[in-house]
Amino acid sequence: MTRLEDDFVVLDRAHDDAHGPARGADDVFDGATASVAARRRRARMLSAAGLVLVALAGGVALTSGGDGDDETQVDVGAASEGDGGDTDGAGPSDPQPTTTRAPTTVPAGEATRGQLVDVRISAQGGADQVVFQLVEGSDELVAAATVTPTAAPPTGECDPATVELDGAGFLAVRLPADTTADPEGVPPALAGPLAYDESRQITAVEITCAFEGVAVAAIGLVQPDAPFAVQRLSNPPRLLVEVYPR
Amino acid sequence: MPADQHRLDPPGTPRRSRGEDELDRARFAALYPELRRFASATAELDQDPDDLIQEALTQVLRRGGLARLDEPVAYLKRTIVHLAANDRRRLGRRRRALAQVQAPLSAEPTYPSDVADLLALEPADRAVLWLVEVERLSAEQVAEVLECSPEAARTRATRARRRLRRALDEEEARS
Repeated sequence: MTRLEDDFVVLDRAHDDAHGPARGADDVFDGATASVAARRRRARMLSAAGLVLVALAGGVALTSGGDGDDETQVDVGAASEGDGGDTDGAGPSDPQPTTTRAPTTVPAGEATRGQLVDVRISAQGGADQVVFQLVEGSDELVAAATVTPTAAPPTGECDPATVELDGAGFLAVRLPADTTADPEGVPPALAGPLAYDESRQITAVEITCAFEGVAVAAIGLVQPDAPFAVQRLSNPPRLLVEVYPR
Repeated sequence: MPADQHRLDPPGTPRRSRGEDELDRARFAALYPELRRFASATAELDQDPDDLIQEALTQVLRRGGLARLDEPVAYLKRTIVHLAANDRRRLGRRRRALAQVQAPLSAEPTYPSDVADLLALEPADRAVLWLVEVERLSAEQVAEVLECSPEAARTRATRARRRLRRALDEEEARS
């Protein structure tokens, strides 16, 4: 046995000392299945609570339709102040933009296919931020992104049409981009709900579909009618979605 | 949807039958010893390797189970590395915050300094060393686990070895 192998054996024992012996395959499998069931229950409860809250508030989310993946694009002329390509290069710490609850499109540009390479969550000045980063050289693609409030997590063209994600409401983000090539559709770094400990306005983000050059992500909201703002950033090309408290 | 399209099976669906669960349980039981050793090599000391495996398996089960993966071991290992790295960043923030409000801990580590040097590496670096030096995987096989090119896997292994050797040399020079 090499010195390095020996060190790994010692490391394994150190883990046993710290956490107890290995739990065994059955215990871990049972834990995973219980976790899946618990997340299903939580998602159902939050979804039901969100619908009630939206109904009470008379919010717009219910109008966006059933599974939250309505293909109808509402006129985005009343979109957030982000009418501008002049937000290029603006940083997350820039002055707070005017927010909206209307479906929002970043101003037009030439749209071809791109590749989504990273998704990050952060918090800044009371707002939660989600950054979708595209591969270098595809700045114009961000311009074709849309962000739409929905009552349920969006799933785009993928089957099945429902996903479970925590949230009282959701934002559907559509990007003209594939994810990186991977048999399961998205690399593990982008798979599964992404969460951030310091988030206050969003529950999680998940890429729910990547099909025919369109990636769809669901942003779970703590407040079903939380206002949001969208900015287009460059170098590297990014779409910034900021969610503010009501 | 054509099979050759990039596709993400949304989590939580489809519902699985009891038979599928039992098949996955048997498949997982066969994989577990290897995954446990790998997770133990990759995890930080304050991360329970079984927790990493369980979370990785949870993600797989939410997407339909092990049968849907061509290379379940590689996929699970890759997910374990990502989870360990994410936890390391999160735990790092907490440690830094705690360090500002607590007196420094004076206790000596209860494990040899070699292991401390090993733990100083990034989870992905420890994973590479484990895969190359212990499991004796080829660069192509390591690349599959880490989702990178074989050349990048070779480079990462070389750098990880160099970092560890440097740390060990410094340790020996001090003693």
